[in-house]
Amino acid sequence: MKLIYQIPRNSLAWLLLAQAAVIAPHMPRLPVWLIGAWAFVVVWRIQVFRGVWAFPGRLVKGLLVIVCGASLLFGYGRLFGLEPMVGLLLSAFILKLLEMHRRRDALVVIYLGFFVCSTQLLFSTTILASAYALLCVALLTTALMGLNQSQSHKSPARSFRLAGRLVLQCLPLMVLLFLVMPRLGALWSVPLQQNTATTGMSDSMAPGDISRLTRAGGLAFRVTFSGSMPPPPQLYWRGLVFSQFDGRRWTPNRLAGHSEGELQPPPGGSPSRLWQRLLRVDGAPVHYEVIMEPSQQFWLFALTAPRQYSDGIGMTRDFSLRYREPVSKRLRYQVTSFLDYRAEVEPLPPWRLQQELQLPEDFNPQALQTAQQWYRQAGSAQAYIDRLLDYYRREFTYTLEPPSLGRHTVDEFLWQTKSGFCEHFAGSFVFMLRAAGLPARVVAGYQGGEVNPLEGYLLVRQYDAHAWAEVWLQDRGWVRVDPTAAVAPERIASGLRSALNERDSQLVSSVFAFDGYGAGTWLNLMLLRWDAWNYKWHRRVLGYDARMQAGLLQQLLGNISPLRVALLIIGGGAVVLAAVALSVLLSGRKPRRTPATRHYLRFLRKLSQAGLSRAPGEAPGDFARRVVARRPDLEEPVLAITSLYQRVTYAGQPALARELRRRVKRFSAGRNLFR
Amino acid sequence: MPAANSFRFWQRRFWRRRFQRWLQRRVPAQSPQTLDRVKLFIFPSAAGFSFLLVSMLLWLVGTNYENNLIIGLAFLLISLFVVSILHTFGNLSGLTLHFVSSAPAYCGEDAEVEIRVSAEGGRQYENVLLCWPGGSTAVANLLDSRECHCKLFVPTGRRGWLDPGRLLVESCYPLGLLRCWTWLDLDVRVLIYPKPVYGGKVPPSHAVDDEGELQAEHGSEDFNGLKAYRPGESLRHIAWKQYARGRGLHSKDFTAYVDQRLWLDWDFFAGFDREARLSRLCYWVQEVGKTQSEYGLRLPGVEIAPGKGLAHKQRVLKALALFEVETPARQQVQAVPMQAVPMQSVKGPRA
Repeated sequence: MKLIYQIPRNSLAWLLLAQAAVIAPHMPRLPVWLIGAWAFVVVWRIQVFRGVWAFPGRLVKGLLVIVCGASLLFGYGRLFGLEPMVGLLLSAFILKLLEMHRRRDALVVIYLGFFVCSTQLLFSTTILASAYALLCVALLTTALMGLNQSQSHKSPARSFRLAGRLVLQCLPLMVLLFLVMPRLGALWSVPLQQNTATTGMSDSMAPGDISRLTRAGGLAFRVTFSGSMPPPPQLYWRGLVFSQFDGRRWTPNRLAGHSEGELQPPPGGSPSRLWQRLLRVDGAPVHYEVIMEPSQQFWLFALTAPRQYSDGIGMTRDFSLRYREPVSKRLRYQVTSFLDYRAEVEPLPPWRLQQELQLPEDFNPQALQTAQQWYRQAGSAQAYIDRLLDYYRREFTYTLEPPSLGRHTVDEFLWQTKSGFCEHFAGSFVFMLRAAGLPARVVAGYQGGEVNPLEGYLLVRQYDAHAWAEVWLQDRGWVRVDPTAAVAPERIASGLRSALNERDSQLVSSVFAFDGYGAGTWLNLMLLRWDAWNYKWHRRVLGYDARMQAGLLQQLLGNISPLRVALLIIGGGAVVLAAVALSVLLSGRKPRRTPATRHYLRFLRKLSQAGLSRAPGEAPGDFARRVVARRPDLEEPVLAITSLYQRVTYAGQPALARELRRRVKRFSAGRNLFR
Repeated sequence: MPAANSFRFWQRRFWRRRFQRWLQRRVPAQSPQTLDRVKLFIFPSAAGFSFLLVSMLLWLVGTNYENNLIIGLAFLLISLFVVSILHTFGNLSGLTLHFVSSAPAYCGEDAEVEIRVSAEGGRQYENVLLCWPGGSTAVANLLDSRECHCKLFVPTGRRGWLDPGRLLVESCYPLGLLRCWTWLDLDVRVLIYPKPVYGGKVPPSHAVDDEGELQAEHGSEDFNGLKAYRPGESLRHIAWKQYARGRGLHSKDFTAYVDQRLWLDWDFFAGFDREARLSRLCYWVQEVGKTQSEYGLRLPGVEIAPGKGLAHKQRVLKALALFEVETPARQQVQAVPMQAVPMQSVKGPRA
């Protein structure tokens, strides 16, 4: 009869648990049938272990593989791509359970588990996800350890404790390797996550879009300024520029095939076509670093006007920044902006004028007419703008829930509903300027942000989303005008919350509560602290790259040479391993002494200084008699101490330990002249 | 190509002998032995190499996706490998092995050897495997105890003193990524009796039916006294004189009965070779040992006076085992090289 290898009970239990732990974070992404298949396979495997069922035959296994593969292919429509590949990996991980005949097969399952554990980090890189991955590694290590324990091992908790200790002992070495081992860039292109919903600002703007975004909640990006932070009213995070209006929806210009014109590499790239040349800057620069949450969109956010920016970023013809690919994972970039700037000062060429004055026909007749009339009355562009802003200030309300608008959005907003959110004000304002013959455009982005007092960085959330206008003025170029500021100045000065009335606040209260907007409460403080940790995590751990590594090594080694780096790895590794070796090899070597034993040993030391040493194995009582025989003068203290020690240790009278300590302390054998 | 094969054979033999000599110097024979740095060898197992491969692949994934956490995970696995070197080594280092006893065995049976594995201090040792090539494998677990006794069985080849060779002590605990092992010579000696071979019925010795004659002949076994007669005793032993005096029925008691003494003699099997004679004598010893008879042994140059009991039997068997034995048989340790020996499949050489 062929003997079937039975993987140890201990190991199988931990293996199944580890598998569940590793698969759990993938659950929301996985097709339901795969989870069902997993449950089915686990039940089968347990029945095999119990000896109730047999391992499946070749036919059943083949069928399972084909069914899983085909379902994945049809479910995802493709096999190349991150999700289908993870699905494939998971199916292999799950189905291999039914083929676990030998120890080697169990090893394959565990090793596959390490891979699956790593894929969960492709989807989430938060602190919690990393801690969870560490737990998964500990569980997989436990399963691996179970394979190498004797079959009769009956203490699963002990296996986990040992494995956990092992993993913890590895952490210092891991940190060392992480800090010092050289970093290479991506070696070849890999499929990234697809089919994920875009978040944040979208590529067009219709009435209601931004107020909806405001209610979506969540973090947009974090900013660290290297110098002092500009005051809140200056914090206009410019992202998208909308120049096309179809009567309802604002969309970006299409220039030279790209949505906003060709991308411009940062200065120093190609000097021939510089949009930068259109941008004149003055005053002090503002340096800052942005860590942007994944948005699955190209656009980045920066203060106007950006002058320097990280690699991989380009600038459009309208001075907004674009990344080379959709931001699918947290992105860190540095920007230097000048808040004092003049953009496109030269008179606009006719094709640009056409773009920036474009208006749809047959829309908003009243607005068109009124605009021309008011402009004639005002006499100058500036006076006209002031009149418009004054109109807003006097008659409009700022609300998150404006009444819906019909075909003539601007007409209805300006003369009927008179209440709206920032996109209504920006949109109608630009319409009115264009109708009067002034080039203008809508800009979307974020405004303001909350400072995290613990770390001093700025948190910009989705509810900081904002839209404003830019108008082109003779000799001044594009000038930012924010009609919302006229209606609700507190929105610009101190954020959305202060600008909303009570009813509107309730609309977004869930978002606020979650993002910890209620300043001063302990909950808010905790949330801010948590965010500060996350921020540090993103900057120090996720953002640790070759540049930061070089800086660190520079700091540690003076100058970086391969020899020094190698010495650092070897030296640091040796120190770390020596500590582990000591804890492994010396563990349990010294039994913990009770206080009474320590006092008694001290007593013995005092006696041995006087030439009276206890023989190995000599009982305290025997020793005391021997001492008294040689030194009758010590009879009283020696007998008392010995009796106390015996009573504390053997008669279970721990209360006497203090008395023992006192007597030992006072005890002196003296007379060591006569030794 | 036989020439090349034979060359390879001699070459392998040369290296094996060199290794044996080197091992002899490095880990000399002795019992008890404590495992330490000098005696232990450690090398990644196949599982360990594949684990490193997995770590490298993870590093590649992390690098390609520019995901620091996956790179960190890869480094964690590499650290796990490095740290488990210490743990695997620690699972053997400090263990003391002591050859306790061996039970004699008949040639062809597996001999039992008892080894005590003990640990200094309170360290824990788990899943330590002990085995002789070709023999059984024992597992030593020192979790809550300071020592454990392992019984190992070694195949036996020929009679005499068996030296089972070097004992393989190995451990892959905790993660199986590394294999730490040593070959220990614990100075184990096992007495191997000849293989019993059926040699016909045990001869009835000097067949005599009258103990009186024999008694007279030997003179040493005297009339000892009288005891109360119990039904079933030979009528010949009844002390009729006493009965005639009206003192009741008594029987005469003698100290020994000469007719039950048996000499197992080398010369019974004239014409057989030495081993065959010994084997048959051994069989007889087994057979006679089951009865209450006394027996002695006569071999050329060896004579063991008749006796009975376990100690006597062992003395006789030992004489048989060691009769004209050349140098103590030493089994060559097989397949000593670095890779694990599949213990169950390797058979020890038969003499």
